Amino acid sequence: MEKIKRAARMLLFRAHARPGVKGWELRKALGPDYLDVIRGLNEYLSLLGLEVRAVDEGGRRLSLDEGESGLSQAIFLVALREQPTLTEAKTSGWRVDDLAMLAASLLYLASNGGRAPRRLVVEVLRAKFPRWRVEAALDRFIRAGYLREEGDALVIGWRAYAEVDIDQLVGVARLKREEGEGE
Amino acid sequence: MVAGTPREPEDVVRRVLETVVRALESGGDPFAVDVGRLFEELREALPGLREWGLTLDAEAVRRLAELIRKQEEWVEGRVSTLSLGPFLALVKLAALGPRELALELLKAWRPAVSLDRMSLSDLLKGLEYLGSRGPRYPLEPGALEVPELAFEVNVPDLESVLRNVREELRKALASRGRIPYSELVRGDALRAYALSVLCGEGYASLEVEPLSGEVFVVPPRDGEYESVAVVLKGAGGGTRAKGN
Repeated sequence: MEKIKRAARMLLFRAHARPGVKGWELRKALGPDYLDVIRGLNEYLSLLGLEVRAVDEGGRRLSLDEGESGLSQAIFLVALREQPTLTEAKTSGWRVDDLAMLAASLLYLASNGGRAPRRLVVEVLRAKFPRWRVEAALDRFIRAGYLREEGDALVIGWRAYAEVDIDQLVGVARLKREEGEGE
Repeated sequence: MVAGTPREPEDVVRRVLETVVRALESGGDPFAVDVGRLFEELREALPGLREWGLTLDAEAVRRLAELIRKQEEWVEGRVSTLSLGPFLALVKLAALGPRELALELLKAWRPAVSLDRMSLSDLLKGLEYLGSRGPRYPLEPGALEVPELAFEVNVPDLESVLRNVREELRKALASRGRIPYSELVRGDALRAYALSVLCGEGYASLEVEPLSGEVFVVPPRDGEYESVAVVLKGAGGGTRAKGN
């Protein structure tokens, strides 16, 4: 139980700008059975509508069953199990326009294979939002890890992959499920 | 996959057949089976087959053809999903308004949860920031000076000032569309108050140029409201106006 409390403190209290704790950090603090501790913590967190998830450096979700060696470089973070409501998002500091701009950016990037020149993303957003707000919002998304800058291009960032189901946002999640069932 | 080295060619064919049937019946990824290699094994076994082995061989070839058809269907399905994705994304982007886009994001969003905590480096950053603010922000609380109110509202006819500014605003927006804030307010705190009230009532909005910081008065816009703080230069005080 003591280990579970410690894991909760490590995962919930953010020490860096980037949320999450590396697998090897958890192992160092909690011991070699840290994955069992995380599973135990998950049982408590599920009662609160939360879960611990492991993602790789790019933000892609990893299974806790991958084993200790496969998860040493993974980032463990606590996330909501269910979608937040609009009121909850606003209470936590998100404006509706910011949410919409993040959605629009991710949709546009997803339609371009995950990457597009920043000026094109700005053009797309300017069709719906004021210019000064667009530039400021993009910079915020980059700082938060939802988008990433690569030269003049913007790409979908690790945090967007970690937190957002891009397939569901685009609308192909259902198609993929149906396809999987058909196989 | 065919493992080991069977003694009889018929055994080779039988194993190939079993592998293919298993792949077909499992309903999994049809590419998990190396079709080319299985054909190669059948080809090698063919010259040594007896008559009954040929029947087995025909059945294996028929089943392999069935597996190839499954592979084609699988590829077609994947291609249609992959090509549909970008199209769907663009359709959503074009069709949805800001609020709908926000709701779409929320449906797919499971945000990370974390609590901020103060670290030593945060405290040092704070100290550095306070140090950079200069003598206007002394660290000793006793040394804080409270400035006198620069804009005391003491006007006999506030209504007439509001009316005048509203009329000016209406004409200026109709003729020019976008007026510098300073031009309309002219450094007069009362006119700034009046403009703030008019913005709050939806007669106009404020727009801040992100690079220059210059504030403009523009026709009212849709969207969420937010406060824009405007400092009147040289007057030693400020006013707060509503904009969107």
